[in-house]
Amino acid sequence: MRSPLLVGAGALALAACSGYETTVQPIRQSLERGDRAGALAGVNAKLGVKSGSQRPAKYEKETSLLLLERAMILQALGRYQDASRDLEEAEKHLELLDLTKDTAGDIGKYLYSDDVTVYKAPAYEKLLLSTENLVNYLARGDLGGARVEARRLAVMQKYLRDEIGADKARFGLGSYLAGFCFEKSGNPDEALRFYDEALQAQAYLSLDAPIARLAAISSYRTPRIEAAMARAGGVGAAPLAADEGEVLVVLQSGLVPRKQPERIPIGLAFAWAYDVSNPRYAMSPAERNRANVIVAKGLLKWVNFPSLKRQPRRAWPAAVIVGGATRGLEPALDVSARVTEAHEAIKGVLMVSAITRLVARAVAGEATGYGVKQATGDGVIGLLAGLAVEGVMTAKDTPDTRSWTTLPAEVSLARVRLPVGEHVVEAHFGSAWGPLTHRANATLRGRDFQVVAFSEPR
Amino acid sequence: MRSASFGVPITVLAPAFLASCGGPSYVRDSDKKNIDEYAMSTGLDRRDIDRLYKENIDKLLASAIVAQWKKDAPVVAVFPIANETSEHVDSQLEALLSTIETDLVNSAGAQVVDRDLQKRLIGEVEQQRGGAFDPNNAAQYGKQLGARFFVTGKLNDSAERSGEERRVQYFLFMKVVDVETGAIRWQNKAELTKGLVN
Repeated sequence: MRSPLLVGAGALALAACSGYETTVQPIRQSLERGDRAGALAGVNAKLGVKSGSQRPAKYEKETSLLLLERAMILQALGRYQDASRDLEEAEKHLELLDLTKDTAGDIGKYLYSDDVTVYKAPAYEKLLLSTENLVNYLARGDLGGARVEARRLAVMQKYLRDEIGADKARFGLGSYLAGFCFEKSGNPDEALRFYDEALQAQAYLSLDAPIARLAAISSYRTPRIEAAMARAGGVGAAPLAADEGEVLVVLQSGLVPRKQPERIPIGLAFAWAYDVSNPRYAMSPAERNRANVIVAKGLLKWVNFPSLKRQPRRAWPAAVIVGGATRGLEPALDVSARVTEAHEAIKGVLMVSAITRLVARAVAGEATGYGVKQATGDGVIGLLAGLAVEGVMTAKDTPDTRSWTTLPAEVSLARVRLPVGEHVVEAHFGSAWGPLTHRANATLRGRDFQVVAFSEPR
Repeated sequence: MRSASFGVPITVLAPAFLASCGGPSYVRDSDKKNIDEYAMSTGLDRRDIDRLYKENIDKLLASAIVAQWKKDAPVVAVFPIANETSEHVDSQLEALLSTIETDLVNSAGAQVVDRDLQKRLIGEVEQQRGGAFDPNNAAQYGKQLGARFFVTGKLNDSAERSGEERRVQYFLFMKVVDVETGAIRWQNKAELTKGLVN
C-alpha cells in the first residue's frame, strides 16, 4: 500500500495549487476599475508585504512574476525608483530560473501540469523588462541608470538573436529609448547604432531629425540612417538651438491579453498537437497511438489548456497636448501583438505537453490499479486506487497561465522640441468610460531633455 | 523538453514536492562567517570591489607619482568612477570613492579635496545639465578646485549570455591625470569575472 499513501501525501502537498490567473485576477480587476492603489494593495498582499517599498522576505513560485506586476503598478503611480527596484530584483531571479535545470518540474509537468515547472519568461517579457526599466530611469532623469539598462537590453538581444533568431530579438521601442539615452548622454555613435536597430523593427518618423543632428557628429551610417537623414533634409538638419530642449512623452495604455484555462475539444487539440513538426517537441508515432487508444475508449473528450484571452480595448492613446498645441503621436510598440504571436508560436508544443500528460495519467492510473490488485488480491480496491490516482492527477492539472499580465497593450511616443522653461504636458486617452486626461509639468533648461510617462493600465 | 516516459512512478515525485518547508532568516556576518564569501549575483559585492580596488591601489601606492606626492603633498581631487557596465553598481562605485580618498590621504601623502566642496562646484558648473559630473570637463573642475592632479577611473564589462550560463568580465581602470597638462601620469587595469553557471 506504499504507493497510494505516498500518492496521497503528494496530493496533499499540491492541494493548494491554483492557476496564476486566479492569483492576479483581483489585481487586474482593480486596475480595470482605475483603482491603482487597490491593485498595489492586492499585489502587496500576495507578496506578503505591507507596502510597495517592501521587498518580499522569501521567494515562492510566483514571486518574481508578482514583482513584475507590482513594478508596472508602481510605474503607473509614478513611483519609478520602486518600480526599478522590483524589475531588477525580478530579473535577477528570472535569470536564475532561466538557467535552472528543472528536473523535478520537467517530470512533474508530464504528470500534473506545466504549472509545476519553474517560470521561464518568454523573449518578449525579457525584452520588455529592460525597456520598461529604461522608461523608469529616463522618467527620473537618471541617464547613468538608463545606460546600464540599455546595455542589458543589448546583451539580451544578442542572446536572443543567437538562440531564437534576429527577428524575435528586434525590439523597436527598447532600441529607441536606448538610443535616446545615449543621444542625451553625448554618445552619438551608440545612439545611432540603437536608432538603427529601432528602425530595423519599424519606421519611427520622429527619429528623422535626431538622426540628422547626430549624423553631423558621427560617421556611423547604414541605409536606414541615410534614409532618415534624407527625410530630415540632410546631415545636421534641424539642429537644437541653445534655448531649446526636447520632451519625450511615453503613453502606455490598455492591458495585454492574459492566459486562462479553457477546455479544448480533443479533435482540435490533436490538430494543434499534430501540427508540431519540430521532432524535439512533436509526438512520436507510439505516443500518438497510445493517445488514440485512450480517446477511442471514450475516456478523453477535452483537454484543459491555457488559452490567451483577448481583452476588449478599454483604453487607448488619443492625443498629446503640450503648450496648448496637439503633437504628433507615434505608435511605438504593439505589445498585445507580441504576446499573441509568442503564444501562437508555442500553442502546439503546449498542446503536445497537455495530451502527453493526459496519457501519462491514464497509464499511471492503470499501473496503480494493477499494483494494488496484485498486493491485496482485490480487483475492486485496485480499480478504486487506480481511479483515485488518476483523479488526483487530473485535479492537479492546472494549465500554465503564468505571464506578465500588467504590461500595457500598446505604447505610443510623442517627441516634442520646446523652448527652455516650464511646460504643461497633457496626455489624453480614449476609454470605455469616456475620455481620460493626465497632466504633468516638464522643465527644460536648454539643450536639455525630459521624459514624461503616462499610463492608463485598463 | 520531452524526456520523461509515461508511467513514471509518482511515489518518486511526492518527496520532491514535500521538501523545503523552512523559511529564510536574517543574519549578520558574525553569525554566519561565510556570508561574504559566496556570490549572490553577477553584480559586484564588497569582496569583488575590494579585489579590483586593491590591485589598483597597490600599484598606485608603489608608483613613481606617489613617491613624488610623498615629498610635495599636492592637492588631488577624486572624481567619480564611470559605470560603463551592464550592471547597476553605481552605489558600490560611489562608496569606493571614500576608500580612495582615505588611502590617498593616509598612504600617498596627498591633500585631497573635500568631496562635498567638489560636488557643489560640479553642480554649479553643470547647472545646465542637471548638475551631473561630466568626465569631459574633469580638467576644468580640477583647475577650479585648485588641484594639481585628479584620480578617476571607469568600470567596463564584457557581458555575455548563453542558454547555459551568464558571464560578466569586469575591468576596473584607474588613472592619475595632471590637471595642467591633461597628461595621464599613471594608469592601471584590474580584472575580475563573475558568472551564473550550472
